[in-house]
Amino acid sequence: MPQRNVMQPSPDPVYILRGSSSPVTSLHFLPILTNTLLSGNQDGKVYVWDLKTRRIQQKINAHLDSVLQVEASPVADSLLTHGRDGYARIWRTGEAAFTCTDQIQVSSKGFCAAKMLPQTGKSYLIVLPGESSSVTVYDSSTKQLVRELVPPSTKLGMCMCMQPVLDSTGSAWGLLVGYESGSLLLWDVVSGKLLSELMLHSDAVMCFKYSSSANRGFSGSVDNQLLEWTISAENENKMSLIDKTVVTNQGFNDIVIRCDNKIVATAGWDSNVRVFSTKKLRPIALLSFHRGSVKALSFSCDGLLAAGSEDRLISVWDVYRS
Amino acid sequence: MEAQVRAVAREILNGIQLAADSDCKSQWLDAAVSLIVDSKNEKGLHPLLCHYDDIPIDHLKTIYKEHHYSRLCRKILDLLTIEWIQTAAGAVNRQIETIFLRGPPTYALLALDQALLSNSQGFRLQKVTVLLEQFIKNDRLKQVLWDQCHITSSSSVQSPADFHAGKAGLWDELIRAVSSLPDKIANKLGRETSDIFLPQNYVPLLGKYILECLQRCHDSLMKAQDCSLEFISRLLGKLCLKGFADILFDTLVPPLCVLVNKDYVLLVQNLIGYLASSQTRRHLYAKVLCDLLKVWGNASTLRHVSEEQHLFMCRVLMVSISHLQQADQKQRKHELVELLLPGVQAHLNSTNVNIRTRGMLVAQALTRTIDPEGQQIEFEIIRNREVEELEKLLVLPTDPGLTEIEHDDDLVAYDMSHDKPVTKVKTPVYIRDCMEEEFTKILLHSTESYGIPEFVLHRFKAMVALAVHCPSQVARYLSAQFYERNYNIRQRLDMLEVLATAAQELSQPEASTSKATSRWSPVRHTQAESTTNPETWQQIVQQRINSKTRRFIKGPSKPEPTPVPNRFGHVAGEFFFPLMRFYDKSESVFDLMGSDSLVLHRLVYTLAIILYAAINTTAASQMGKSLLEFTWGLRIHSDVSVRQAVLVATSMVLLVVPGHFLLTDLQMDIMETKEWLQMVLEKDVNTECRKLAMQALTLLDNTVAMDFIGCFFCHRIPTYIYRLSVFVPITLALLHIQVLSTSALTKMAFRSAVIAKPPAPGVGNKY
Repeated sequence: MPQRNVMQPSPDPVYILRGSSSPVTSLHFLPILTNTLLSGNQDGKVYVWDLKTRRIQQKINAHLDSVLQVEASPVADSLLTHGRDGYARIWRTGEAAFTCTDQIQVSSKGFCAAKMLPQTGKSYLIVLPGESSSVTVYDSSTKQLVRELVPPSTKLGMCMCMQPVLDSTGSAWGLLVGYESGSLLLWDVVSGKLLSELMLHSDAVMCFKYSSSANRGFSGSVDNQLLEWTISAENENKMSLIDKTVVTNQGFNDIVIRCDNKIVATAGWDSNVRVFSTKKLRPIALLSFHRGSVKALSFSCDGLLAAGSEDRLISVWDVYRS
Repeated sequence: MEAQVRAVAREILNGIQLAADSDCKSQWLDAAVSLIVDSKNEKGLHPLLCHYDDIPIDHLKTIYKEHHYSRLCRKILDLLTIEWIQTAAGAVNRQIETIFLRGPPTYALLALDQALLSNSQGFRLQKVTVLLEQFIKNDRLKQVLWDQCHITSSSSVQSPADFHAGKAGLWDELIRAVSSLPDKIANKLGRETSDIFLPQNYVPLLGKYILECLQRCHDSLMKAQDCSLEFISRLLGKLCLKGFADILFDTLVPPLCVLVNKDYVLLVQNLIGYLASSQTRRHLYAKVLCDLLKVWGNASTLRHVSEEQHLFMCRVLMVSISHLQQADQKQRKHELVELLLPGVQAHLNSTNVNIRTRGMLVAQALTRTIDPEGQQIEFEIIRNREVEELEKLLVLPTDPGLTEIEHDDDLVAYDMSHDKPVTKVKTPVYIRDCMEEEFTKILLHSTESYGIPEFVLHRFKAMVALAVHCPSQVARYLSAQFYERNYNIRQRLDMLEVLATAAQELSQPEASTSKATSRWSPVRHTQAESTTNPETWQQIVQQRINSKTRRFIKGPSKPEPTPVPNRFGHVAGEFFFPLMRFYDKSESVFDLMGSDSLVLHRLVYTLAIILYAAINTTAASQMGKSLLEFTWGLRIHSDVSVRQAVLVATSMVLLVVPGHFLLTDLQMDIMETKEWLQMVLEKDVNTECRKLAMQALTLLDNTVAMDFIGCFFCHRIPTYIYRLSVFVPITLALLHIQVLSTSALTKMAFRSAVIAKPPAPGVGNKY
């Protein structure tokens, strides 16, 4: 047999962030300040981590219950957090600390996280899960309800997760929503029209990510299948499945796509992070470190991967960056 | 052009034949040489042929060599006389050699071969053999072989079929010539045959050429040039028919094996892969698979096939399974399953662990492939090298050309071998909370699903420890459960093995002797130490004192072993008798006398071991009697392993039961046993059975002889000696007195052999 390239041993995290008071539920690298990582915890706190010193820079008592979402606006001047206490809050950076400027009451008590939809300029929309299967769209500046996206069918169940669809200028024109039934719906946020629908999973869509630049989406459910799909712009925005792969253990908590669209990472219930090459959906690495289910992932714009887990640790990985 | 070349050829032939003197002949030969040999310094034509200078010289040479060279060779050989050579001194010799050794080798060989046949003796024959020897020494044969394989660019316009048809006649002749050369030469020359033509030299040389030729073919195929291997394959066939196969393959196989491993040519895999790769050949592949499965699953095949053949069949099956495709799976699912099921049954019934394992493996692989979503057979297969090797065959060999393409994205995968399914583990229970019998029950029912290394061994040890700790309860429980419903074979075998091992352990005296011996060793100790380098002066002084001191020791040199009660004695019956209780009770799930002969064979063994453990106890005689009765009905069992077990059990009875009891109370039984053993010795088909019968007979004779001697020394000749003398003559007994020491040794050896007989726990009982 010819000598194959000797396989590199499985990588270790480059460092671990310790100090969370409870399981990590949400992670977000600030888009511009690459040395800052935000983490949301199950006790409602949001931490701002300085990756140079690897210490907590700031602790924000953001919510009274588990933080579902921490997300910064594209220019990083404001922050959206969403907790299970029923509030979505907007924070602005002051001299040193983030301060809460606005809050919106969320009618749904589910697990669907709020999402920022960037619009032209600095403005953005905020989408929140509404009653039953509906989604509410708010204007960030006026804090007013702009419109409500109500699906025609009531059999979809609750909203599970949402992702914007961006045009070439980076402003969102569409919204993808995954439902409890396993369906994925594409909405036009401007007109509030339902554009297309795709039955993805047999169980709830637990998490998905869509990259507008690559026109590829990846989704996971409670089973062991990772699906890849696309939106056809020519064919009336019809969505179709492209590929799927089966992983060893069931259950996905989070999926992230790196900015260059080359790799996808998934957070598993089995406490492992799996890395796939997007070209063929080929598994290329299994990042094992955590001792509890991995809840949240985030890629920095320079390719660092952070994973937050039930074991209160955040591991930072440096894979496939060169 | 053709016609002109023909004219040249005719002129040369005539010139050689009709030339007045040898000088003239020699000049014509020169002309011929000039056409055959490519010399660089000579540009134009030979002076004798200069009137043909309108023909392009390269063309002339090519056509001449292809069409007229053969006739030239024959002519020269016809004309060869001693006078001609002698008058022309060395020049002609050199010219002729050049013509034969540098011309197209195929034709030269054929011409020489023909000349060899037509000349019986004399100068011409000698010259021909010399030329042949030169021919071979100059490696011209290699060129002959290669010319037949190589499809030249000029002939590449033809299809391979045309190429073969055109060459068929030539090849027949050539193969005959090449393969029969040693015989022919030997026939002609007798004892004067040159060494090079002896088969032991000639055939390996040919093998070497064939190997080189194959290598060249391989190289040119890599360059996408056509090659034909038909000639080589026919030549090989012919050589094998001639009886050179051994010599030939000694040369060919070792290097071929190396090359095959190095270069992705996987024999069986290639063959099956070839059949499976094309839609047109697909039905052949399916037929192969089905036929093979049919043979594989046949119970009688299983009985008669050797283990190596069986392994090979399994290998081929695994390779075939790996080629099954979706379409076949649907189409042939039922057919394959129908073939598979009897096969699996036959394999599971086998008493050979390897065959069982292979059967399970093939069944598992096939069901997984046929119906990945459906219900699957899951076996607990013991992992060993063979299993892994067979499983590897399930993976299709990757095409070396394709692996490059796979790495189109530059992301090299990390090692992901730690990607394993997560399993949930039950909370552990403290052992001290469990009752003995209850715990045995739990252990008996626990299966290997905890991921503990060597789980089976641990479970086995735990059960044995329990049985030793409270023998009465556990033995009663296990032997009662043995005949219960709802146990699988693995569990029943476990019960037997636990009982046997516990019995052995109980019958061993507890380890207390080691302390006693250590007290007696100090003197020897210092002696042993004296050989090592003394380090301190005290040691040196002590050593000198020791060497000058003489010790007188009274009393025994070794302590008497302290007698300890046999722990097994009072429970032996509880281990033994319940196990024989319901052996003839036939149930639908567990039929000891019918299909479950595997368990029966282990049962008989176990009884034998328990009996042996009960040696020197009061119960032994009664147990031996029962065992003899129990095995009586199994003596002509159809399964070899059961018969072997019965023979072992019989030996045990003879070994354990005191001789006087055998020869008084069991006298009739023993006589019958002896007759039966002799019958086995003469008639049984199985060697092992015959060996065991032999041992049992020897034991029996020894027992009789020992008992006789015992009586003899006590001046007490019992009446049964007279009766026994019918079949044990006194002379035989007396003979045994002489060889008593030897037979005692045999007895000892036999004891240890029998004890070593049962396989190690946890190896034979996995399902």
